[in-house]
Amino acid sequence: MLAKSHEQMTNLHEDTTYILGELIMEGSLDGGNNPIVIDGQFNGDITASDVIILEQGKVTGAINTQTVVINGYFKGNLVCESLTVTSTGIVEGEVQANALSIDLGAEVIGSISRVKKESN
Amino acid sequence: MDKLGSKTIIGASATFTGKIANASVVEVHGKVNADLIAEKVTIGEAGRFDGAIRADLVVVSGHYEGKMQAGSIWATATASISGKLHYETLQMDRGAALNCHIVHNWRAKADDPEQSNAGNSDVPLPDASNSAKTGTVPSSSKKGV
Amino acid sequence: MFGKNSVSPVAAPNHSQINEDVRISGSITVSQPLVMAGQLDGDIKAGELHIASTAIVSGDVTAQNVTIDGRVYGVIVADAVYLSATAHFEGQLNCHGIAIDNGAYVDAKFIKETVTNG
Repeated sequence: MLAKSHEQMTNLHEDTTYILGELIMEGSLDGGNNPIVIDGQFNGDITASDVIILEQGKVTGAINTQTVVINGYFKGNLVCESLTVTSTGIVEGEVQANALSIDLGAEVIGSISRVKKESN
Repeated sequence: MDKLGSKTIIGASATFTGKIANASVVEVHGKVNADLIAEKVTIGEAGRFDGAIRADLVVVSGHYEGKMQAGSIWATATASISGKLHYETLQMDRGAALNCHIVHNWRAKADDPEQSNAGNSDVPLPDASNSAKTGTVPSSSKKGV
Repeated sequence: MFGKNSVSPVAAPNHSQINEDVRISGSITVSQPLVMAGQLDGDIKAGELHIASTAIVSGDVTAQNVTIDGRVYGVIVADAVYLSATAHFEGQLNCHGIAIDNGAYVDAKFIKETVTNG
């Protein structure tokens, strides 16, 4: 996952959303079916296919995606299929994930449970 | 980690509604509903921006609606702009659709903004001052490159 | 007792091991490293603890370092916890360092805490 993001990072793609640098965004972001890479600050809701929070990234709010890779900071509610928290990552809040990969050094505070299926 | 600078790109399928602060270079290929203060803003051909923009340089190839205050504005052939444009230098390519109130603002610095890679030459339109009140722009639209 | 005919223990001489077929109801306290491969209805207090893939522990675990390959239902208080791909954990985790491998089943509350087990 990280290798993929590095490749995306060296050629910035038009289809991927990048929130980099000192940028501060607040509100509702829908990445469509494309990834979102965050190195700045974001407060609010995010819906996308993948979310990658880089080391300096700070996200608070709600994330609802397929995969999430957290190298930076996240606080809030997270619902995803697969969550990876690397050694620099900090996750605070309620996480619903079916696949987990947490590296030594990561900080996780809150709760992790399986994705609650909505009954039809 | 690669130093990516502080470019912000709103991807082609993305939609954002909210507030943006501390921006420097912003590229919009999706839909944005926000107010933005930045150094350079590019609205791509598929991009759509609703809201106020205050920037040194704005390149519009897509759709913009709102109030724009910029040093330099370049509306390319696929641009569609409505609302208000306050500019110091304006370049409009043949094909651009401007349906807005255009004001030439002398109060801002006369300095040209940083080198833009859009190839926007810093030669202002000769009769720029005529477009002050009305929504029409003199037909001396230059091909920008 | 430790002759050629005896079964060589999986754990090193000063380690304890509870084999897969053992079922315990009650609490376990051990200061040397422990490999737990059986079933426990109760609490464990240990230093270095390895909960093997066949283990089922329903109770609280207090330890310095815990490696979990099996099932744990309860509160874990530890310095470092490692949940491997075969781990199944439901409960609460108070620990300083955590690592979780892809494949682990986790349904738990996470609290960050440092514990030094004397």
